[in-house]
Amino acid sequence: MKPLILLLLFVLAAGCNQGHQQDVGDIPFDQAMDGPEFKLCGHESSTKQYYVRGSSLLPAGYKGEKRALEKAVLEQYAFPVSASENGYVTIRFVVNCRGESGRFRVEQMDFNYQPVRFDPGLVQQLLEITRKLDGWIPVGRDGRTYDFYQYLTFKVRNGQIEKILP
Amino acid sequence: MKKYALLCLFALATLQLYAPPNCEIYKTDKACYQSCQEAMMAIRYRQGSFQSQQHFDRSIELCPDFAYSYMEKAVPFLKRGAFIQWKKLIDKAVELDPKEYLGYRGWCRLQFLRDYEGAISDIERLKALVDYDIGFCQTGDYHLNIALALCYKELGQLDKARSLFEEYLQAEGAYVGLYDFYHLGVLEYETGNYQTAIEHLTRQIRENDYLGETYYFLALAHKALGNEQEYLSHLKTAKVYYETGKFRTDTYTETIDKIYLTDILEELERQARSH
Repeated sequence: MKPLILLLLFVLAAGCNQGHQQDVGDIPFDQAMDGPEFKLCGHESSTKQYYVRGSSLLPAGYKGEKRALEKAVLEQYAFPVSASENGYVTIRFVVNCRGESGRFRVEQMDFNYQPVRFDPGLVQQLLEITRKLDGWIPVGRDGRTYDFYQYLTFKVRNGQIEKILP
Repeated sequence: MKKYALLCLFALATLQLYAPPNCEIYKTDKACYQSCQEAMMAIRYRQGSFQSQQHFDRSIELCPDFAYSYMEKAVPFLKRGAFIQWKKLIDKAVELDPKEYLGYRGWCRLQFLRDYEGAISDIERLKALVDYDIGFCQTGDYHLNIALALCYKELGQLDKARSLFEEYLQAEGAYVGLYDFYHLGVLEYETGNYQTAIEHLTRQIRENDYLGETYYFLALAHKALGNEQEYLSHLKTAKVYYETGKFRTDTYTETIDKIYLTDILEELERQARSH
């Protein structure tokens, strides 16, 4: 009997452990980086991707479409921080079902896709601008809204924002 | 309509998903056969999930030359904005099978990163490598020769872009894509060749009358020529089309030469103010 119970406990523990396995691009809460004010509406594992499609599932968006997002970014971006900056700054984050954003993570690379460190002032500025964006429309279905992963990539040439992706 | 349906089917069939390889051709190599089976297991799971990536890792471990697994393992990194990881993996796939993956990598560089130089380099390399038709991009929206033309257009090399468009579209038996004449029309508009722009945009409407964007640029070309009536009429059509869902969308990224409702409304305001 005892070995059976031990086996059952092992299977259950393995099952629980499965819940912590990360998918590509997951952003778990990190006490060192993330404030306590941002909360997901649903379970971690049910966070969708911005590009999710499916029957009756409405994709994520931004109020006023991409033009409004571009305007909000470009109006706040003060140039020049440094005119010698070139490459891509990607900020990945989570938007909850209420359209609030949090858990921001930054990836920086040059035009050859190699990791690089941009002027911290430029990165901080892009991060602050992204944090302030308040027009996110969450993924929805049948009147319900869901948490989702989003990213913004800033293509920077000579310190200027050349393109905001995706 | 039939053409549209066929293209939609093609696009759906190729939507960010490569056809799985036929594992039977690896039967003489036990490790690579098992590697292929692992890749087949991987695609049964949700893309980018831990389980799926784990099967791709096993597949690569079993047969480090199995290019398909590097490419498929890379896809969720691309879609989720982790481009450094994506590039490392897709580079390996290209290194192992350049004929299969150069065109794909080039298109992704254009679509996701607007890396025009990188896309040109990949597509040109593919052209030099094969003696057959280089085919369409992953979404099915463009022939890779048109994708190449779009890269030059976005780099501002409009003459080069135009000659690539014309070379492809005037070739015997060329398959005209759903948006080819739209982009060529925009190119001519940007160059200041307004009458030619009108001709191409009108042809676009004949090919695929489903885009408010086409009417927007048609309106602007007429405006530049001083054709006030046509300008206003096409601008209003653009608005109606947009409001009824007739505009370009893409699941993952903004498309090239994209126009939004705001652009149309602002132009309508400009038109109203000038009277």
